[in-house]
Amino acid sequence: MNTALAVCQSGGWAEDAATLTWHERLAERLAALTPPTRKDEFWRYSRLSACFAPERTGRGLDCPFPSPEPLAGEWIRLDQGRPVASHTRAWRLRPWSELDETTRARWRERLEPGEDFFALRNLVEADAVLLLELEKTADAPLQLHYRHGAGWVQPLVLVELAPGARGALVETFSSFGPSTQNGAAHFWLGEGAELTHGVFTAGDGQALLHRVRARLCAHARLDVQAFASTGAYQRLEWDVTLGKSSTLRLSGITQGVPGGSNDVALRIRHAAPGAATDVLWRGLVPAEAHSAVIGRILIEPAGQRTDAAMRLDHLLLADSAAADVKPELEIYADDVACGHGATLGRLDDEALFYLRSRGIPEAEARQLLIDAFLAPVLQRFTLAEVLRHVQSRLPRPDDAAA
Amino acid sequence: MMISLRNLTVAVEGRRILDGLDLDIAAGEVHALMGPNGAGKSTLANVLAGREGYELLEGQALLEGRDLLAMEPEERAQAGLFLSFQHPVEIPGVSNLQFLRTALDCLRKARGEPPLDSAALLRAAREVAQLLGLPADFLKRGVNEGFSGGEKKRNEILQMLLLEPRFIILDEPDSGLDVDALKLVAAGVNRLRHPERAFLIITHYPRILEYVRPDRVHILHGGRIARSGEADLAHQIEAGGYAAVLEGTAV
Amino acid sequence: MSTTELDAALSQAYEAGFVTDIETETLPPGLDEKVIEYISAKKNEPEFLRQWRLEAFRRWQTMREPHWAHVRYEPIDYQGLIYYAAPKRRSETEIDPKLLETYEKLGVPVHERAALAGVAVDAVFDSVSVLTTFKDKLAEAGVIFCPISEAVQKYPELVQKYLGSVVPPGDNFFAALNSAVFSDGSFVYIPKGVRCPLELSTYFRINTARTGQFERTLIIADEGSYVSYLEGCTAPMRDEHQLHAAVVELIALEGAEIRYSTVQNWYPGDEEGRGGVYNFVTKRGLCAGRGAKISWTQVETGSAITWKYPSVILKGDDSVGEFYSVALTRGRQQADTGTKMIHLGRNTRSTIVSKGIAAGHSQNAYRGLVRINPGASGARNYTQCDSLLIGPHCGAHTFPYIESRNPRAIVEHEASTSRVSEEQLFYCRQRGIDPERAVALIVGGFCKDVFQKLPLEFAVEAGKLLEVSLEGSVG
Repeated sequence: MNTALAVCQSGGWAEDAATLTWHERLAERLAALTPPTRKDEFWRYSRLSACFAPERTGRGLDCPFPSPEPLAGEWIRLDQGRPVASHTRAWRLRPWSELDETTRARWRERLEPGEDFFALRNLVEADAVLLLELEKTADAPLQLHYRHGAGWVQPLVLVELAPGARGALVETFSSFGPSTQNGAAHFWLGEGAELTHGVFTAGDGQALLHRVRARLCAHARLDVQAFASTGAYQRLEWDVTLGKSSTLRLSGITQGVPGGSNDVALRIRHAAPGAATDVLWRGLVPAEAHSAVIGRILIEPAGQRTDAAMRLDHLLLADSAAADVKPELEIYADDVACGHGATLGRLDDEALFYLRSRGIPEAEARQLLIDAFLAPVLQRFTLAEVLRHVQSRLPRPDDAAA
Repeated sequence: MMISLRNLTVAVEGRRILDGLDLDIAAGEVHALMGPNGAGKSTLANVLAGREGYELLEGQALLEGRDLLAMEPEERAQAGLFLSFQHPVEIPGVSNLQFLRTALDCLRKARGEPPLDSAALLRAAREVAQLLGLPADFLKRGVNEGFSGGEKKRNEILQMLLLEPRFIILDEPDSGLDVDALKLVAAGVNRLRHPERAFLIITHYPRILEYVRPDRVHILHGGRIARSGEADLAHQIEAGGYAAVLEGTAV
Repeated sequence: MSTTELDAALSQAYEAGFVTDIETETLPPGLDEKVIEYISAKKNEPEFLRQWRLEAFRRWQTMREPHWAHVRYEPIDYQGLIYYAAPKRRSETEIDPKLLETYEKLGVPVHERAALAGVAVDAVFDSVSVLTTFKDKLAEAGVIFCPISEAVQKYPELVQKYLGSVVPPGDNFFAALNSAVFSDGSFVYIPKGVRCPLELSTYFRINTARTGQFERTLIIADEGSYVSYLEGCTAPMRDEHQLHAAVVELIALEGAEIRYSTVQNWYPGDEEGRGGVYNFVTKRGLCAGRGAKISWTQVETGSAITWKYPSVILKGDDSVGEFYSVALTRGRQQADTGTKMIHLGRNTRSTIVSKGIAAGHSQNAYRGLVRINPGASGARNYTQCDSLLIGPHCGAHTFPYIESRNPRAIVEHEASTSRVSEEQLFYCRQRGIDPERAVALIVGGFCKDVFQKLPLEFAVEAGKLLEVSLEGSVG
């Protein structure tokens, strides 16, 4: 099956009465909001101005994209926020206009954006709204390729895994002209469902905001494997609510790019007993680059018997590199074992000297130590689609020699 | 009678673990309680010491005639009961000596005695630590904090020797010990044997009974004492396993 | 063991809750420029200080109360507070015996012949300093230890040079308010190369109802000197809230060391959250010269709300900042406390050890900033931040901010949250220890790393505050 989805109508939302009313209210709420500033704790370290630069804003312009690379397996291509082609057997894909009212009502509720400016704006101005459903087990990951190249681009992807379903989703992002993509993915994992979520972004001078909001029902499991390489400005957000005995494992790497700024914001909420969170994020920050990771683990009173751990580490590789980290615990239940750790530092001089004294040139010695720093994260990456991209961005000395 | 258990019936999460258990231990005696894994040996130890999470359905337990089961855990300790834990917990930052002093203060206060003077306690503690082959800085270290398995077991014996209880339950004091450590633990127990004291040694293996000769050996099975005998019962278990020894006993 | 039992184990009567019946001179409630003029005139202040206060007041009027901390409270009516209250003096030299009684009851050594002869005390009662001991002995060493109002008269050049140099009047809302209306506090100057022969101590007492206490402490340690300073605080039990907005400034010049310890036991309010002190305090030290060292140790058990972040600006190369904190909250108490370590100089080092204990319905937050500026090559920070929860109705939170702008610096942060486990409690009780002592013992062990940093006299007091006997060290 190779379906070319019809380009969704403007705004992405079908014009049924209930959706229209809801959409109007959202628009009113958006009009009353202003973009976040550094006074907002979750935007404290964000260098947001890049995504409001005049050349990256504006709407509606199409972009002359180059011919796409051919894709194998299961995939969907979204250009300028709109699905243009897809190929999948395991997943069911539908635009909003094809959904029945029950499904629409359910999702309208799940999409409540609160006071989040970018989430609201994405809902109000969505270029396309696409629902992906998985009923049972999908063997191959579904790849979502986003390309943006002009103005503000705002795709919205809804993902629902039926109870017990198992699958993988890999989102990759690239840009081809002055633009800001403000996208969102909403995951709903039914009881016992398992999703592996890969994210790969490559730096090419544009701005990207991508929000993932996930709700895990009882015994569900979400395994995130992310690699973020900065454009001018990039922010990846995960907002995860864990149900009873569910599990979140979130692993990520930030590879900074000179002149770029990269944010990661994690909001993890334990709302039921027995859930477990394990976060490991590591960042490499070269000269003139900025990396920020804000991670909050919130344990609600109902979140007894919680096990939560978060590690956020950065290596600053040169002068003028900058890193900001804010690992938070907010705990309202007593039967918990929670911890976080963070380090900011540089390559170990002693180790570097040791390697060089064994005849390894400095550049390669540095690369070896960087590999060692990233290894614990890479060991958690199981998605071949992500690993392939990551390896292409992290050349190893062996490769150079070969 | 030091300890007297009658028809003790205890459930955990609705499941009967002890089912009409009777047991008497007279002052001056050492009894061993053996049985296969999951027979309820540790349940008995915990119920007697007053741990939460056990539902008493029937029966009674008297310690020198006093109703043990009506008391709070610390009251049982103050009445003379000591449990050497199978898995002693760590209490970071609280030194062994501080812990011992607090326990002794509470025990002595309950008996209407004045607090022990610090120097005397320190002397006694050092002597016992040495006897048990524990390092010199042991008393300064946090309670069980970062101890090896063997150190934890020996620390239980150290506390037992210094607190001088009257009825002592040793819950698997031998598990995870090498022979040398086992001998030290056994020596500690033997040192405290006294006509006015009684011991219940809970063990899965008869090994420790080579060093601490029991007056009676009981086998716990089906929630009650399925067989009792002299010390040589332990050897029969060693030779033929529980199945052979229990063969023919009605449950 | 039930939550109520646990709670009972941690709560204890507030022993410092009595009121001293003494005649005071108080201003009517309210704040305007006239009040500031009155305070300044009352203290016979030089013109520079009068102007400084008025500027701070004008600044304050343009500022808004901060609300980013993890605390909730009803709006404060700043016009309903009394800004000046002082016990009436019978004469210039004689001190009302009731005041002496008050401090004796609180265990503060106000007689020079007292057992704690190694401690010099400045006693601040409501808005004024009522007595300072051992002034002569300190003077022999060249140490100045006196009420700041006296220092303004005797050493105006030192005051003018350093007042507001670390915490400028416009630093934050409460610092601005303090700068406008501060009434008294302690002043310390340790000359070059002098090791202060006594522990210096200030004891703060709020007595009069509806009175705000705005003390100002200024400590200057000249090159190569050393001083250890202790601070204690209590207040009577009253149904309404009392505001305490102090400012403490420390300046350590090259090679100097200041150790500043606090045992804060302001009235915390009752179990329902009625009454209690709002403790909104700005404390900051400047390691101005090479190799200077500032160490903050605090044991916070009191106050309805605590909002304080004793900080160190590590400007001098090789300077050292330390922060050791125990914060215990119970009942309806709320604490948002921590530190800021600002690394500016090369090879600067900082250590943060924070232990938060939350019980009852209280909220206990650690908030700390570690900032490495571009010039701070070779800087190091280590932070250890642990929380202990007692019962299911409290909250324990950790909000660290870690910012690095220098690749030759190393920052390490570790945090954990756990509870007093049933296992630990049962183990203690099996050894005959009653639940109250068992909890105190376990909590005391949890706090050990911080208690070890307190001067001996305060370690004992801190231990008592947590019902913990700490005399367990082995020779």
